[in-house]
Amino acid sequence: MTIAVGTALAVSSCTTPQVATLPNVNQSNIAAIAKLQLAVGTATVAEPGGTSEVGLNVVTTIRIPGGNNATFQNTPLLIAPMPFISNPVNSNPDTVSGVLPTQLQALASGSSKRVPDALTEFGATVGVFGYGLAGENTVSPSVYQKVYGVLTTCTDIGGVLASISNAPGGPTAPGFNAPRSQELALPVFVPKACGFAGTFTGKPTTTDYYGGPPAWPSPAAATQPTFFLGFPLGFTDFASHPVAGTYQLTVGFTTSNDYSTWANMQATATLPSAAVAAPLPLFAPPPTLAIQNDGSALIDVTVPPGVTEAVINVNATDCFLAQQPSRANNNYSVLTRVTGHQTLFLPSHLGPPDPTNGRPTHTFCTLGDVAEAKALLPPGSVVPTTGNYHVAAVGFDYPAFEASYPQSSSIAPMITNARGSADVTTADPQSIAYTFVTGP
Amino acid sequence: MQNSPAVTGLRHQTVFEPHLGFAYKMDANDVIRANYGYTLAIPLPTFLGADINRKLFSAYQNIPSFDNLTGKPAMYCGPGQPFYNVITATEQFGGTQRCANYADQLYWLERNYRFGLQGQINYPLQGATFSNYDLSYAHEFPSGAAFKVTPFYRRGYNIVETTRTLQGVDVVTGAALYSPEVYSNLGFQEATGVEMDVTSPPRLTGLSGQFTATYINQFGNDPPGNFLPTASLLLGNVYHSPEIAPFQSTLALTYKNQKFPLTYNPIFSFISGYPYGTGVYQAITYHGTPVYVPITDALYNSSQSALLVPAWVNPQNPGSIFSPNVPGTQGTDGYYSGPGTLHSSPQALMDLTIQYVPPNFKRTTYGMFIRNLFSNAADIPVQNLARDCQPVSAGVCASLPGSSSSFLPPTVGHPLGVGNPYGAYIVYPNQAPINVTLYAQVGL
Repeated sequence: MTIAVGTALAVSSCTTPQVATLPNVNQSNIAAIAKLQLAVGTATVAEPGGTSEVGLNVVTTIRIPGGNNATFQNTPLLIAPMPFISNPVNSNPDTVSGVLPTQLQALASGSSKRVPDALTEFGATVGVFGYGLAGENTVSPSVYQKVYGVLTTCTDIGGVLASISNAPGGPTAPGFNAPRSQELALPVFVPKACGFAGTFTGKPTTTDYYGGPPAWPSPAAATQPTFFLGFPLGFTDFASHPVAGTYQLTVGFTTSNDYSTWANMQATATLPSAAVAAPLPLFAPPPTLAIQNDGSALIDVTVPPGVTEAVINVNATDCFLAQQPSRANNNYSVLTRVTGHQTLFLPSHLGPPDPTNGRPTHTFCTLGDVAEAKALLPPGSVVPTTGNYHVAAVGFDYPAFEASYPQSSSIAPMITNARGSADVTTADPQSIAYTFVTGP
Repeated sequence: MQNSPAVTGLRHQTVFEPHLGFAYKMDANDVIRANYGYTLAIPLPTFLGADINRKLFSAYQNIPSFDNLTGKPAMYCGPGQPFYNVITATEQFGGTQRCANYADQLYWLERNYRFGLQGQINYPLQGATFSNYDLSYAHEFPSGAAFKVTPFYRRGYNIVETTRTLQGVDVVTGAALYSPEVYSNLGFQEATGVEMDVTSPPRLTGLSGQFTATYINQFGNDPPGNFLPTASLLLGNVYHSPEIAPFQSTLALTYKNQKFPLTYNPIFSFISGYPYGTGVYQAITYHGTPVYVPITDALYNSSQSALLVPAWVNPQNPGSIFSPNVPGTQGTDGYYSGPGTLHSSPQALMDLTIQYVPPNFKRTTYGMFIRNLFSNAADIPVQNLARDCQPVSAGVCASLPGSSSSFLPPTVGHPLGVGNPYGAYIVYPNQAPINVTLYAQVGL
C-alpha cells in the first residue's frame, strides 16, 4: 500500500499564456485601387405653385475595380466657391463636411464641448458611396446615440438616422453596423425648423429617389436582401444657388483598426459658366397618373427640352394587404429618353412577391387584393381599401441611368455631359391618395 | 393523418459484427498483422427521446380546439411543413390541418415543436456502422528496441448527426437563435492514416523512451464551430474533422542516474494544429431550402449584422442572397473559403516529472510533476462575436475606446483574450496553464 501526499501549485497568474497565431488580415489599399469622381452641375428645382429655383447638383462616385463601393464608412468634405448655408453657426458657409468618427467619439465622451456644424451637415452617417452621397456609413451605436440622441434631428442630410428597413415586411429599425438603403431627402438644406438652410428663398418639397422596376430590377425580388429599397439615382441637389468655378471633394477614411492612420482621396470638378447661364428648364407640370383597373397605370408627363434621359419615380402602397399597414411602400421607376409630352405605361404586376404564393403583387391595389387579404385574415379583420402613392420625376443631361447600379460595373462611370457638367431638373413631388381599383 | 402514430425514435436493430484478424510471423523479429472489423454504434437513448403518448391529452378530448389568435378552431395540426404565417409575417414550420379537438391541438403542438423539423429528414434512427481496416508491421531490434507501423482505414455509415438551424439573430445582443435539434442518419465519416510506435527497452540507468506519431486524415460532416447546420448535412458538405489534428506525436523519455538516484521523465508533444474558421461560404436554410452561399450582412436584419458575418455587401447594389456583390470581407477568410479552411498554429507541449528515491529509504519517493511546462494556454482561434468595431473597408473594422457595437456602453469591457479585440477571430486562454504538483509517496 502506498500513501501519497501532494500539493499543486498553479502558476498561471504569473505567466503569460503562449500566444497562438491569429489569422492574417488582408487589407485592401483602398486609396491605391479606388477611384473617386466628382461632377457638379445645376439643379432646376420645381417648387409648389409652379415656381422654381436653380440649385447645385453634385454627383460623385468612389468605387473599386468591379464597380462596388470602396468603403463602408468615410467622411466627406465638400468645398465650393459659393455659400451652401445661409445660417452658419461656426463653420465656413462655403463648406459642407461630415463629422469624423474620432470627433463623434470626443463629443460622446465629453472631451469635446464644441458642437461642430459638421454634426448636422453631412453628420456621421452620410458618406460617399458607389453612386452618390448616401446615409449609409457604419457607426458605433453607443457613440451615435449618445451624441444624436440629444439633438433634434432633421430628415435631410445632417439628421440622417441610421436605420435599416425590414421592408417589405415591416417597419424600420436602428441599423448601425448593418447595410441599409438610406438615400437622402432631396434637395438638401431646404429651410427647416432645425438644422441649416440653403440659400433658396422658396421651400421645395423634399423626396428621396430609389430606382425600381421596370427601369431597374426589382429590389424586392424573391432572393433580394430585405433591407434594400431600391437603386440610387446618384444625384444630390442642394437648395443653394451655384456659381461657376471649381468645386473640391475630399473623402477621408481610416486605414487602421484604431483610427490611428487615415487615407484621403480628393477630386475636383469645374462648373462651367455656360451651365450656370443655361440650366435645364423647369420640369412642369408634375407627372400625373391614371390608374387602370388591372393595377397598372398610365403616366402623363412632359419632359423638358435639353433632358437626355428622365426617370419618373412612383412610390406606392404595397398590395399584400393582409399585412397592412406594416408593409412599406414600393418604388417603381420608368425611364424615358424622349422629350416633350408623352404617355408612359407602368405595368400591373411589379410588386414584390406575394409571400403566400410567390407571385408578383399588383403595382396598384385592386379589390381582388382586398378579397385575398380577407380570405387570409380572421373574420372581422379590417382590410384597407385605399392607399397612396408619391410621384416624382427628374431629368438629366448626362448618362445618370447608365452610371447607376446594376447597369454600371465601371470603376469610373461617365457622370458628366459634353460640356463637363451634370445638370438635373426635378418636378415638384406629389402625394396622392387613391381608392383601390376594381380589377381582380 | 389526424390519428397518425407518435414519433418512433429508435427501432430494434440486429447487425452481424464480424471481426477478422490475420498475423504472419516472418521471422523471430518481424511480424505482419491485418485486421478487419465491422461494428454497430447504437444511438444514445437521449436521441429523439421518448415517444409522445396521445393518451396524455385524453382528458381534453371533449373540448373544442381553439386558436386565440384567430378565434376559430386551431389549424396547426398534422405533420409539420414550411408555411408562411400571414399574421406574424414569418416563415414557420408546423401543421396546417384543422385540429379535431383540444387534445389533438395539444398533441400536435408538442409533437411539432419537438419533432416538426425532424420531418425534414428521416426517422426513426438506426445505429451507425463502421468498417475498420488496419495493417501493421512490427520489428524488434537486437538491442530490444522495437517499432511498429500501422496504416489504417475507417469508414462510417449512417452516422447519427445532431443538427440545428440558425433561425435568426437577436437584434439587441447579436446572439444566435437556433432551432430545436434534429437527428438523422445522414452523417458520413471516413478516416485514413498511419500510426507509428517506437520503443526502447527500459533501463536501470541511462536513457530510454517511447515515440509515437499519428497522421490522420479524417473527414466528417461537422464544420468548425459550435453546431452542425441542418442545411450543411442535407447538402452533404464534408469537412476535415475540426477536433482532430492531422499530425500528433509524443516523445516520452526516462533518464535515470545510478550515482544520484533521480529519475527525469520529460514528455514532449507536438500537435500540427487544427482546422478552424467560419469561411465566407456556409450552408444555410433559406426559405426552407438548404443552400451554400456567401454569408453576408444582407442575410440578417440586425443592427449589428455586419459584425456577425465574414462578408459585407454593397448597400447600394447588394445583389441577391445567392450572388451578393461583396466589396469587402473581414479579411481573414478567403472569398471562396468554406468553414475550416484556416489552420491553427502548431503547438509544442511538455510535461516533466522528476523523482527522487532516497538510497537508504527506498520505500519513499519524492517527486515533482510539471504539467504544461511552456504554459501554452492559448486555444484555437474562434469567431469574435464580441468585437466592437465598424466595418470601414476590406479587412478594416475600426473602433475607438469607449465605443460599442451594442446599444449600451461597453461596461463589461472586451473579452480577456490574446490578440486584437477588434479582430474577426480571437484566441482565448482556455487551456490549463502550467501546473506544478509536489508529492511524496510512502510504501507501507
